[in-house]
Amino acid sequence: MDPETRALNQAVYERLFSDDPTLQKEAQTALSDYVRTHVREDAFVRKILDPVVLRPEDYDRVPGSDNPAYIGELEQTSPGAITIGYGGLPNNLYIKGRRFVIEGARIVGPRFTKDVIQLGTYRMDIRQVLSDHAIKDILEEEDGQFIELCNSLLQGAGVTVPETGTVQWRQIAGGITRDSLAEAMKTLGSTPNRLTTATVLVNNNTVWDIVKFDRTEVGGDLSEEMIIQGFQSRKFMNANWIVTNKQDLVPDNTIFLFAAPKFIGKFVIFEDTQLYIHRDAYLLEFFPYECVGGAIANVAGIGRVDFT
Amino acid sequence: MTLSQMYDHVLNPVKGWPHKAAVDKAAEAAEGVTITTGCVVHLDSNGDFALGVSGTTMGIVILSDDNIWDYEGNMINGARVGLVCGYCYEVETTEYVTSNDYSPNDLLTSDTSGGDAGKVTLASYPTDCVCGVVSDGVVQVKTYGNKNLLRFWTTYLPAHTHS
Repeated sequence: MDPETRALNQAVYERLFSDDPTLQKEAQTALSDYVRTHVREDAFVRKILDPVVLRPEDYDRVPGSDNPAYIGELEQTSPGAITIGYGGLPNNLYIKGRRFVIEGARIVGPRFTKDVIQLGTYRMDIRQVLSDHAIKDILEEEDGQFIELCNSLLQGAGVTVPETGTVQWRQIAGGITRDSLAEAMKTLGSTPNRLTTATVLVNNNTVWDIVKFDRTEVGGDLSEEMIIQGFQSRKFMNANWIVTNKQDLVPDNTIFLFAAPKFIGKFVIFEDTQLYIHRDAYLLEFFPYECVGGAIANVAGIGRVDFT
Repeated sequence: MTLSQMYDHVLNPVKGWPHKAAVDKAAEAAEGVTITTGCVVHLDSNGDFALGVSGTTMGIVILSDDNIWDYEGNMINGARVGLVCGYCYEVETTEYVTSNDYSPNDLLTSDTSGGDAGKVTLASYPTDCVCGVVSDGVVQVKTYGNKNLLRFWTTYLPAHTHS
C-alpha cells in the first residue's frame, strides 16, 4: 500500500473506530464529501440539466403535500411580429407565465454492512471501498430515471411527439458517418421551436465509430488526435459531447441530443448526496441518500437518433 | 388536475415504524391504477402495486405521500413505499369502508376491484385474504383535522378453501 493511501486509511479507521461522536461525524463528513464529488462529476443528468441547489429556506411549498418542491419557469414564446399597414394597431396578447413544479424524491442506496475488522484487511483507499458501491447506485438511479423520462416523452422510434408534431426519435440508416451525424444534428432544429443541439450523449463504445473517421471525413488533424487520444468528452459539431459508460441506458449506435438547459427543464437538489455511516460495536453500516427532483418541461429540447 | 387537501388520505404508523428492522416495500403503481396514501395494495406479476388483496397476495399499506404533482415530464415520480402487512405494525388509515362497524379483533381485508378497491373493510375468513386485525377501531384524530381513521394491526392470513 502506498504511504499516502496508508495514512488516509489510518485517518479514516481511527475516526470510524472511535467512540467519540465528533470524530465519527468527521469521518462521515469526509466520506460524504468524497461521494458527493464523484456523483457531481459522473452523473450525466447533472451536466445536461443545470442543477439548482436549494437550501430548506428556498424550498417552494405546494398545497396538499409536505414534499419539498421547486417551481420553475420556462422562457416565453411569442406568436411573433407582423407587418401592418400605416394606421394599423398591434394585436393584443395578455402574457401568461409558463411554470412547472418539481417535487423532491428520496433516493437511497442499499444499506451496506461490514465487520470493521475485515475492513482493516483492505489495501486500497478505504474511501473508495465505502463509497464506490454507493456512488454507482446513486448515479444509476439519477441517470436511469432521466433517460427513462426522455424515452417516454419521445414516444418511440419514428413516432410523432404530440407537443411538437415532429418525430424527435429518429432512425438514420447507413451507420455513423459524417453525413449521418450531420443529419442527426438537424433533429432539434426540425421542431417548431428550432432549437440548437448544445449537448450530445453517447456511450463509450459507439464513440469509437467517430474515431474511425479518416482525415478526409473529419476534416483535418482531429483524425490524428483521435487516433492517439481517443474521443473523450469534447466539443464536436458545435455541441458538447458527453461520453458515458452506461451502455444499458445509452445503447450502442444511439445518441441523445439536448438543447441548452434553459430550454429543457431543471434538475433540483433539495439535499445533496450524503453517506450515512453508523458503527454498532464491530458492525459498520452505511448507505447513501439524497433528495432530488427533475423535470423536462419542454420536450422540444430533447431528441434521440438510432443509427442503423 | 384536482388538488387534494392535506388530510384527504392519511396513514399514520402508530407503532412499529420507523425502525431499522421495519419491512417496507417500494414500487410504482400499475398502469392505470391510482394509489392513495393509506390504501392497501399488493404486488402484481410485474412487481407493481395493484389495489386490494385476494388469494395469497401479501398486503402492503401505503405510507408515502400522494404524488400530487406527478405529471408527464417529471423525472422522479411514481415510486411509492408501503409497510408490509406480514410484519406487525399498528397503523391508522383514512382509507377504510366507512359504512361498516369495526370492533376489536375483527378481521380485515381489502377489495381488488369496485368503488372501494384498496380500502380496508371487514373480512370473511377463510374466503377473504386477511391484511389486518382491528385494534382500537375507528378513532377521531385531532392532528389530522378531526378525521376518522381506522386503527388496526397489520397481519397476513392467505385465503383458502379448507375449513
